[in-house]
Amino acid sequence: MRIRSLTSRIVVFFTSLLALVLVATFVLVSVANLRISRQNAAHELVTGERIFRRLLEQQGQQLTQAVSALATDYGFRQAIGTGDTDTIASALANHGGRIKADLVMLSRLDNTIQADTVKPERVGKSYPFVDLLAKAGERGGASGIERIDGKLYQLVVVPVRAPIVIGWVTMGFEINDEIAADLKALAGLQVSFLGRNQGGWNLLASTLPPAQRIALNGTLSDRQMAGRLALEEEDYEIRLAKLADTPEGPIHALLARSLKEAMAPFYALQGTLVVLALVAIVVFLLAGIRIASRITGPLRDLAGVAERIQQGDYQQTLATQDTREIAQLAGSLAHMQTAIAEREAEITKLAFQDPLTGLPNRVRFNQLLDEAIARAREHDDSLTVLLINLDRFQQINDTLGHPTGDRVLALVGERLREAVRFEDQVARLSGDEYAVLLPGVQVGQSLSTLERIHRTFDRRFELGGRTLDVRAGMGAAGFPEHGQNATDLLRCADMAMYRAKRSGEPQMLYDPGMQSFREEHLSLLGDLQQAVERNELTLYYQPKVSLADGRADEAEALVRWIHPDKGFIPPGEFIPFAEQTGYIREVTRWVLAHAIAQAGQWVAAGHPIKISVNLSTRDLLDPGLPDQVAALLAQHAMPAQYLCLEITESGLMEDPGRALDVLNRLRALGLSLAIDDYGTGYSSLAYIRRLPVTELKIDRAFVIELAHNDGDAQIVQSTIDLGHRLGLKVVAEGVEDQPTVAILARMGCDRIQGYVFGKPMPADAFVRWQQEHAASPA
Amino acid sequence: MRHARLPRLLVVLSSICALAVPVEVQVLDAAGKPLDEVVVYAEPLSAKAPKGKLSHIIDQVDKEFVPLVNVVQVGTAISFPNKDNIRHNIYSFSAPKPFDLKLYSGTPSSPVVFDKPGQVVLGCNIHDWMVSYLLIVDTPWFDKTDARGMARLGELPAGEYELKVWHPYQASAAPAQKIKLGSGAASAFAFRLKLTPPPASGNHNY
Repeated sequence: MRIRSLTSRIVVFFTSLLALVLVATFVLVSVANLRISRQNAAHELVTGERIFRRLLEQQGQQLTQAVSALATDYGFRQAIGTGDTDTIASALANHGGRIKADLVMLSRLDNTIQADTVKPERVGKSYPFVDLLAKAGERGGASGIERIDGKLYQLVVVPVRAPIVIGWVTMGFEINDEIAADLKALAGLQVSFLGRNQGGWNLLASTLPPAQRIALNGTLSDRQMAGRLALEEEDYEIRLAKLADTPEGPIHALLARSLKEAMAPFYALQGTLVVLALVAIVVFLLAGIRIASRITGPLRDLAGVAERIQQGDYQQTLATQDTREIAQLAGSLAHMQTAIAEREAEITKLAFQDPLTGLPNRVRFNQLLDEAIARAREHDDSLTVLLINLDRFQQINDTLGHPTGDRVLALVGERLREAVRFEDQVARLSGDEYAVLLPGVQVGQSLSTLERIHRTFDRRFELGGRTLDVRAGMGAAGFPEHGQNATDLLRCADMAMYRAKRSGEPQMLYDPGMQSFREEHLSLLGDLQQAVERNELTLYYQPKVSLADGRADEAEALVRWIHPDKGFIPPGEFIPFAEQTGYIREVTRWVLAHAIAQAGQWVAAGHPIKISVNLSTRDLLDPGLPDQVAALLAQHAMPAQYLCLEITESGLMEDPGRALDVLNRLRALGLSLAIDDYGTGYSSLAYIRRLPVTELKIDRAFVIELAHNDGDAQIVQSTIDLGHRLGLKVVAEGVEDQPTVAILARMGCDRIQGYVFGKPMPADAFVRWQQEHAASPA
Repeated sequence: MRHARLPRLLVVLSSICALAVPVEVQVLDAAGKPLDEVVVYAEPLSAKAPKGKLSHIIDQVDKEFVPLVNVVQVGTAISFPNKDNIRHNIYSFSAPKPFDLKLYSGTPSSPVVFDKPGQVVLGCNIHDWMVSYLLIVDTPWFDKTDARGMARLGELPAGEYELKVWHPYQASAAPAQKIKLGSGAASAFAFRLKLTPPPASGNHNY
C-alpha cells in the first residue's frame, strides 16, 4: 500500500479535477468550433459564390461601359464606318489597346467577322457568340465568359452606331491567374476557372499554388458541386459554380475555402486556451500546494507533538492554531498531554509505591537495591538487606478483618521507618513482608539495626482500643559476601528470615549453609500433594492427661511428614502453606480418615482412646465435612464420643454463620468440639457460650510463663473458672514441668497436654507409653 | 410635303404638253394597313431622267432630325438648319457621301451636295439617338406615303419605269415593279412592305 501525504492527495486530486474540466472544456469547445468553422466555411462559400458572381457581373458591366464608351468614340466610328479592312483592324487594335483588351473583333450585322486582332484568318467566318450578340442587341451591350482557343475570356459585345448599328465590337479580356487573384482578393476565396472537356476538367486560371493545381486535375469529380476536397494535404471546402456554356464546353468556377485559413482563428483560440489552461493548472498547483501546506503544516506540527508525547515529553507548549478544526485538535492534544502526564505519574506511583504504607514496593526496592549495589561496587563498599516477615499476620487478618490488618501493616511500616537511619530504605515487598536496605553497612554490623527493629515490636500495637502483640521474623544478607545482585541478596535474606522463624529466633544472618534447606522448602508444597497421595504423612499422638484421675485416655492427633529424601518436616513448615493454598482440606481428610481408623482400631481392641483432630478455617467452611465425618465414623465403627475436633477462634471469625452451622451439625453427630489456642484471639467467653463446643484449650503462651507471671496465672484461673461455669472442659497445652502441673491442678484445670507427660509419638509408641503411664503411680 | 409640291407642279406643267400620266402608289403592310413615310420612286428605263428640284432641308428640331425619312435626287444640296438652341454635329459615314459638319448653330453657310445615289444615314456626333435616313435616287419622280399610305409621283411621261419602294425599317426590300405608262394604262399601283422598327437605341430626353 502506498502511503501518500495529505498535501499531495489534495493537490493531485484538485489539480486533476481542474485538468479534467479544462480538457473537457477544450474538447467541447474544439468540437463545437470545428463544426462551426466547417459550417462557416461552407456558408462563406455560398456567400462567396454570390459575391464572385456579382464581381464578375460588375466587371462585365464596367467593361461593357468602357467598351461602349470606346465604341461611341467618333474617330473609332469613323474608322469603322468608312475605313477599309486594314484601317478597321488597326482602329480595333488601337482602341482595344486603350482599355487593355486582349482580343478585339468586329462583326457585321450579318454575323460575319469583319476584323479580328488576334486571328485575322477568322475574317469572313461567322461570328461564334451569337447568344451574346442577341443579348447585346437587346440591351445595347452584353458581357459573358467564353473560351477562345483554349483561353478564357470575358467578352464584351457592344454595337457600333453611325448612328444606326453598323456592326458589333467584341472585346475580350482574358481571365488569367491575375484576374483570379483580383477576385480572390475581393471574394476572400481561392478561385479557379475550369473548363469542361470531353476528357475532363481543364484548369484555365487559378489562384491555387502550382502543386495543388496538378492535384486538382486528378481529384475533382464530376458530381461534386460542394464539400471537402484535399489538395496536396491541404483541406478545402469547395463549391463549383457554373458560369457559362460556351461552344467549347461549360465553364465552371471552383471556389475553395482553405480550412486551414478558416480554422486559423479557431486554432489561435485553441492555443490561447491551452496556454490559459496550463497557466491555470500551474497557478492551481502552486495555490493548492500552499493551501494544502497550510492545512497539513499544523497537522505535521501536531504529529510531531504527538510523537514527542509518545517519547515521554509532556512539557510541550502547543502553538495556537488559526484553523478551528486544527485548534480543536491541538487543544485535545494539549489536554491529552496533561492527562497522560498525570496518569503516568499516577501509574509510576502505583508501580513503585505501596499504597498502603506509602513505602516503595518490591519493584522499586529492587531498583533501589540494584542502584545501591552498583554504587557499592563502584566505591568498593558494602550493604545489607533485611527481610522482615510478621508472625501470624494471617490470623490477624482472619480474626480482626482486613481493615485492621491494613492498619497493622501501615503501623509496622511507620515503626520500621523510625527504626532506621535516614539513608536507609524501607519497603513493603508483599503481604506482611518488608525489606530494609542499609547502604554502607556490612552484614555483620547490621545486628544493631536488627535489634532496634526487634525492640520496636516490643511495643504493643494500639488498634481501636485493643492492644495487639505483633512479632516478626527477620533475616539479613549482605553485599558483597552473600550475593552479587538484588535477586540473590533478597533470596539469601529470605532464607535467613525463614530459618529464624522456624527456629523461633527473632532474627538471623544469612549463612551459606542455609542454601540447601531453602531449596527444599520451595518444593515442599508440590511434595505435599505427593505425600498425601503416597501416604508419606503419618499421625503422632500426644496424650491429654486427666488431672482428676491421671488417666491418659485422650490424645491429640498431630500430622507428621517424613519426606523420603528430606526426612522429618515439621508441621510449621507445610501447614501454613497448605492453608494458604487450600490444600489443607486434603490434609484434613487424610488426618481424619487415619485418626478415625486408628481410634476405631483402639475401640475395637478394647482400650478406646478419645482422639482430637485439628480443623483448619477452611474445613469449618466446608458444608460437606459433617457428612464425611459421619461416613468415616460409620466406616470404622467408631462411636462419635471418642472423637473431638479442635477449632481455632480465628477459624470462626471468617464466616461465623456458616462455621456455626457446620459446628452444629458436627456436634449433632455426638462428637466433642474444642476451642484450640484459646486466649490468643479476641473471642469472649460470652461468644463462645453460643457455640456448641465442649472444651477449651488454653494457649501455650499463657501456660509457659504461668509459674512466674501473675498476670498469666490470673488469666488462666479466670478462664478455667469461666469455662467450668459454661459447662466446658478446660485443657492446658504446652505444659512442660511439674510445678505448672501443680498450679493447673490447683486451678481446677481438667486435662493437661505437654512434654511433662509425653511428646507426640507414633500410634504404637503411644500405646506402649499409655500402658507404662497406667502402670506408673500418679 | 409642302416643299415637295412645287417640283411636282413643275413636272405636271411640263408633261401637259407631252402626254403626262399621274401616278399614284399605295403602300400597305402585311396586314393591309397603310404605311406612311415610305419612299416611293420611279426610275425611267427608256429615257434619261431629267433634273428636278435639287435642294432639300433637314431640320434639327428638339434634338431630332426632321424629317426622319428623306428622299432626294442625285445632286441635291441639302441644308441642315439647326432650330435648337444647342449646337449639333451632323455627320454621315455612308458611302454615297461621308461628311462632317462640325459643331454649329443656325444654318451652315453651305449646304451638303449629295452627288451619288444610295442610302445615307445621318447622325449627330453629340446626340447619339439623333438619326435621319436619306435615300438619293437618280430620278425626279419620288414621293413619301402619307397617312393613308398614298404617294403621288406626279405626271410622268409615258414610257417604261421601274417603280420601287424603300423604308429604312423595311425587313427586306420589296421587289421593284416594272410599269409602262401610256394612254389608257393603269396609273395606280400598290406595294406591300414589312417594317421592323429598330429597338429604341437611345433616350433623347437626357
